[in-house]
Amino acid sequence: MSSGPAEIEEWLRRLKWSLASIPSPERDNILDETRSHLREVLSAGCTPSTALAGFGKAEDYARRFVDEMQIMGALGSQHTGALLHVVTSQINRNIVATLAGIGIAVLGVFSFFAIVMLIAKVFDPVRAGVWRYPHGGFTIGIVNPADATELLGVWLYPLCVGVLALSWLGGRMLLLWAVRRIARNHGAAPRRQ
Amino acid sequence: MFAKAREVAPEARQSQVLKGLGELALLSLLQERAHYGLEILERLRGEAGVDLAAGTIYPMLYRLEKSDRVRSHWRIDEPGARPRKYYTLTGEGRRDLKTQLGEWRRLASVLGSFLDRETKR
Repeated sequence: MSSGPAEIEEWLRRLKWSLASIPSPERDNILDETRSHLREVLSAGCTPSTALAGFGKAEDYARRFVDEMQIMGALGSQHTGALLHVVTSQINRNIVATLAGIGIAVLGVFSFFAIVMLIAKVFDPVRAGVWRYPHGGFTIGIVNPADATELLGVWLYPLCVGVLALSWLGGRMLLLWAVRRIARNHGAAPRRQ
Repeated sequence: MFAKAREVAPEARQSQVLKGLGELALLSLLQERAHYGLEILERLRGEAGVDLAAGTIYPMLYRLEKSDRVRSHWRIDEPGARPRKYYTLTGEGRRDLKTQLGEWRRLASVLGSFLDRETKR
């Protein structure tokens, strides 16, 4: 296609660059359609600045397509990685993503602690566990067995596995809920040019 | 600062009310026949009073196409003219339109009755 005014071409170049994460045929389709729209508006007597004002910044415009692609892909596949990617990519601009991110971080801490306890129990079964001190306090971790009484014994294994399983399931449910909410709220709000 | 907030409030309020209705109006428009982007924008503005920006309508069409509610094809209307990307409603899109329309009518009826309660007294 032939080139248009320099301002338009520069904006389209930035758009193409910002759409880099979208596969080539789809990206070209978006660019062709945007170019076609801009040319038609220009030929109707619009200035390049007015024509571009309807699209906003190229990076912001591209981000809407990238967000749509990621959200639809994540909801289609329901892969945990894809769902997590949507939440993390929107964490600083969407309250649902922020809340889900906090929830996932908390579950991550629980999971990390469960894994550490499992490993500790395998390699140091005498000192790793849930301990009660003579004065009444509790500790979960690795302590000196002379000072405390272990409460769980081998039941620590199923407890840790249970925490991991619940964290995984809870995390997936949280991610699915968040991405569905993001998708529902993602319908672009109308605004004036 | 608050005075400025009050200045923009009506537009922001309108934007919130119209949020979501753009998609319904768009699906309704495509039910008639195939349209291209600029034509959709102009008809929605002129006939439905839904003032969508170009930067809003194309991502919306992209989402609708991704969810199989519309399909698109490039067409040259007359010799020498620029190719345009036309959008048509799919069967899934028609079903979704019917659902959304039902929800909108129910909501409009309930809300209308509620808002008119003072004049009825």
